[in-house]
Amino acid sequence: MTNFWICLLTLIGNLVWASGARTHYKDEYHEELFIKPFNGYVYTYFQFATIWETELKNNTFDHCHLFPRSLGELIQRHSVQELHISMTKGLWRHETWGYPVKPAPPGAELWAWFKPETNNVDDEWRSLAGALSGLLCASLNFIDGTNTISPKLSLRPTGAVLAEASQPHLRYAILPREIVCTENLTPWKKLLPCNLKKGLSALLNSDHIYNTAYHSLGIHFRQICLGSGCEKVGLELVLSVSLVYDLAIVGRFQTHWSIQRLFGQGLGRPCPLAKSTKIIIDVTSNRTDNQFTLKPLNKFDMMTSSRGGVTTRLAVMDASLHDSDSLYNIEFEYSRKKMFPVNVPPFVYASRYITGYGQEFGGITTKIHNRFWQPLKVILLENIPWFVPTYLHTLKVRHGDNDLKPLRIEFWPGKDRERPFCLEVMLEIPARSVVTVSIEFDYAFLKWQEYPPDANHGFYMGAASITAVLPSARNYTAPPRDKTLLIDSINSTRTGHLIRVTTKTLIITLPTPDFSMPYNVICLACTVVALAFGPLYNITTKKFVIIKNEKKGLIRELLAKVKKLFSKESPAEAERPSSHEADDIRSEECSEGRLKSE
Amino acid sequence: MGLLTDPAGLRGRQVLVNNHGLICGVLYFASLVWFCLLASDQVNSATYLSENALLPGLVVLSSDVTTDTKNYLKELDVVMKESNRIPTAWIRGKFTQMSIESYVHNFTLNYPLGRGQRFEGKNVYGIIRGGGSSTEAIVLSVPFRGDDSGFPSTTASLALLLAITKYFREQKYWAKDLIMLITEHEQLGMQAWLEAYHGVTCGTKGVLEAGDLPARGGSIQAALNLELHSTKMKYIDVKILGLNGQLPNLDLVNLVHRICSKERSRHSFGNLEKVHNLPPNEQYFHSLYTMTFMVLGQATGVPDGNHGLFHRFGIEAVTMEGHEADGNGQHITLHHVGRVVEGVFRSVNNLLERFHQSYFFYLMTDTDRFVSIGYYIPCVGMMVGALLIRAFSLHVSLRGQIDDSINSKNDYNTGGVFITGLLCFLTGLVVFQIPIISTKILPVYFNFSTAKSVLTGFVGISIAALIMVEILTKVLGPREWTLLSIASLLYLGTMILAVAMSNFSLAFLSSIFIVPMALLVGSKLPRFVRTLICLLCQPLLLLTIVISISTYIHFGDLDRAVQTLAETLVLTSVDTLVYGATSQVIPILAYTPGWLMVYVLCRAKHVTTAKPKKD
Repeated sequence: MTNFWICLLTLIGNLVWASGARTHYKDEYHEELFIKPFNGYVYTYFQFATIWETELKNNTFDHCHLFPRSLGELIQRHSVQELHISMTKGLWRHETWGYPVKPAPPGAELWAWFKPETNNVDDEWRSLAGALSGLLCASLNFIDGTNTISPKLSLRPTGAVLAEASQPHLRYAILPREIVCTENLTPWKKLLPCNLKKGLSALLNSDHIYNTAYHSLGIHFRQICLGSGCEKVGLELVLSVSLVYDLAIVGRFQTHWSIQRLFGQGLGRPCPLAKSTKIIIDVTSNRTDNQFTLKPLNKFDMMTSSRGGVTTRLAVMDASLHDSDSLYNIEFEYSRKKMFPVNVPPFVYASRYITGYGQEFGGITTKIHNRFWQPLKVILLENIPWFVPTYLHTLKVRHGDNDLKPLRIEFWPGKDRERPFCLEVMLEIPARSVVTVSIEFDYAFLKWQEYPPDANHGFYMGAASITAVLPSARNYTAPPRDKTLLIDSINSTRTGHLIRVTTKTLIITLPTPDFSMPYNVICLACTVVALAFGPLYNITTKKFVIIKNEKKGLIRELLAKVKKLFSKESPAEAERPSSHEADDIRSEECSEGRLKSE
Repeated sequence: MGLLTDPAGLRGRQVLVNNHGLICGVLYFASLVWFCLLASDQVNSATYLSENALLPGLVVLSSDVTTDTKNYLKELDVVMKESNRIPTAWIRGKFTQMSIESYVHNFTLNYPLGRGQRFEGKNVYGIIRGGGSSTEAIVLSVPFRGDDSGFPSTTASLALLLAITKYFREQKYWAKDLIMLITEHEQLGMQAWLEAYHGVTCGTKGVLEAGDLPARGGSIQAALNLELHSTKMKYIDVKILGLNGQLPNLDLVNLVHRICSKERSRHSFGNLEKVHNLPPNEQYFHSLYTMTFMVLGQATGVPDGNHGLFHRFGIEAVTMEGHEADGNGQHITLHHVGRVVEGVFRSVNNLLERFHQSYFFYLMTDTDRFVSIGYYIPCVGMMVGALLIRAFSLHVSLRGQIDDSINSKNDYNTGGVFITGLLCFLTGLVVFQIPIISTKILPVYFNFSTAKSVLTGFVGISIAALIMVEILTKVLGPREWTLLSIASLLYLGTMILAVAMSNFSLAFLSSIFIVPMALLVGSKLPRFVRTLICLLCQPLLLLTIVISISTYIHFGDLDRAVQTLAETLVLTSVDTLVYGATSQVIPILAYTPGWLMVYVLCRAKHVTTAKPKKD
């Protein structure tokens, strides 16, 4: 029965496909899986790309074919020109893993370019974030003015922009505490033409992909040029999943691994809507390290890609050729039981940490490594929340024991409860050296409602990022900027290779009150104030003087009594006898105003 | 409400002033009695876990490190015969085999009291990256000891660290980074590593060059230090005393004790195990002994293990010390300790927030009983209360004298009093610089050793101070002496309270000497008796007496007393310069000026005692 339905659906699909949809919509869909084993880990990157030959107009998304309409409507409504979303668990370890295809910091990251003619960018931004939060089941609705920045130097539109058009508006935000899980995968997969039912996406089984050391979902939308001279423009939507498997955990220290072991199932039929389905495996390490055999070898084409002065060997498989219902596996068998390959770090990577202890002063230090044999220009972007007030005069850029003069500094001071601090530093890092950028901050006090639940967990400070253009493509995996597909990156040498290195999220402990004792604090403080204030005020402002109790005449005494009646004093006090011993000072006399105020 | 303004309330002051001597004495002895009562089970309370997220013992522990530790121990035996230094290459090799990143940290100590001596050391650490984004970390540390270190060996704990690391690496439930740290040169290595991790210098700049770390984890939540002296252990001693008397959060201490109990490992605090079902009086003395052990240890401000250096950085840490079993009776193996470590780590891994729920200020009276700050702080309160009541009485009598001689207001030399006080404080500052000054001068001219020159320096300045006091006593008149007396009492009271805020034990023990001294100075005792009492409380002399007694107890004679004294002085000076310890700062900068003021009063002629003015 199921087979019947699948056949029927495929038939209908083919009919639609054949009957002019292709010509009418001019869009195509590609699936790619890139696998790179390194140093006890396996990096798998899924890319689902939709390319649609059309212009970004006000009615573009009224009729969608392969492009997900729900996302298209948001783009249309909020005048978005380019959009990048990533939701990540774990930290990409640049030092051992090189560069990912799509960089993403821990937590959720959202940045968008709005069309230059957009009127109220901040409102559009907020409502876009709110809508995306519903679309992806993520807390993107927490993005508002307090965590949004618009960096000037670090980020450029990656897509095609009309030369004469004015500059689009950029908004950028990170939610470092966002936790990514299946609830985000479920809505995300609905954006795929084949869902998770057919094709490479069928591997994304949430039982297995959350067992990873790094996990990142991405949505990237931009305008691109079609053709070499940019005579036609198109829209590109890339949905991506990056996974890094830790073989020590997945394979219990066995080096042998396979698609089956990583994803819990084999590969099946390709997605019928996909124009191409490619599996690309980086087998460069096979020459020097622990040698492995790829199975089934006959299905792969071995290719050598020379790019940016680096030669990589790739095994490419056209998965769209698989034409049976049976599942198949891709296996890696190593010649030795254990592997400890020597790790070659990439040219530029960074680490970031908090300095100092206690809760008075602290500092953020970012160490940027340049292992290239020439000086490199990099741009550091720090996005610091408002509750960590930083001081620009404490910014120090050190190279060994010397100060290094930054080429350019852009600093937007934050405002309490309104906007974060944004710091951009452009540097030239000398060859083969480490530069330390540090800035100091205070620990701010928050209002008591501003503390989140579990306040003693600490407060998150989003990742910094370092943008650089590398002359060499070592450890570089991304396709060139003018191309969409990974397969196009073979032999595609360009003058520079743009990288964005994201650092780790920091956690700081702000002075946190003991919330479990509000009762004690309120009661005790109020009582002490009430008890102490009056007497202390009296003691400090009045002087005690001993007054002889003079005898008064009868009339005066009567007058005093009448006065007392009119003044609103308690009758008990008023009726007290006023004849005391002469030398005794009593409080009643104080209340009668017989103490001279000074 | 008129409690404070009611002038009638002042009537009570006469009672206070008339009987202040008695009241002060009662307060002093009440404080001592109160302290002794703290050991009673009626006063102290059973420990409990405040932080529910710890869930101790809820997880099924599955580590079995027996085979691995045996293998590592065999290899270590060979490796350690080659050199007494830390085998960095071997340890890093082991970490790499487990697919763990590992790093070496170099540090240098420029010995501050010597003639440019430099000592170098190395720490090795590996980081197991948890599933999170490296925002938090837990540390497991082992001090490496070569054969020549003079301390009991810790080879077993190094083998256990490696074996448990291998086990931890394969687990996928880690939410925090795990840092496996092996330090060299005892506390120096640990201090250097912590300073490098946080990018700070705690002591004097240029003394301990901590350098930089090649890699870091997140912010450290907790640390466990392992010192296992053998593979067969009689019991595990849980050590908590930190630098400057800081203590780890009680939750962590309880956690370790509780998991030890669950894993059926004998465990103790202060080398005293819990004895169940003791008769009440024996239980009382058991608790009193344990508590006194803790108070004496905390008062020194010297950490009793590498864990003590973490506390300053807001990291909760304890040391588990395994004492070698004698004979063939029941013992704890590394397997048991491995299970305890696993249990503690999994509980801490479970933590969402930092340790903040439970007590940071407490005194342990048993492995599972403690005295909270609310119960012990009245001891110090009563001591300080005695000083303040005395100051108040003096103030009242001074006011009485002024009121009597209201016409001669101007013979009241406040400036002189101020200068006398200032001189006392300046002396304190000079004394504080003595270790550095004397080690720079004396070895050059007299060829003294460091210890000898420090001791000579302190003795010299003490004598100089006594001479200065003799000159000062001739300057002022009786009323000024009363004023100075009030100032000294208030100052000492404030100081004791301030010290009690961070180190109760030190404040309480010092007040046992300071309070009677300060009270007896104004008494009607003969002058030479007062001088004798005062001199006995002189900080250096008091230290000499304490050290002589402890030497006599340990060795049965007094031959080594002077040498021990000199070495103690050097060690505390070095601790101040390297770790930023307050073990020398408090006695010299806080107590010495106060003592000098009291001594000035003691030697002065015309000192009026607080004679209550009778109506």
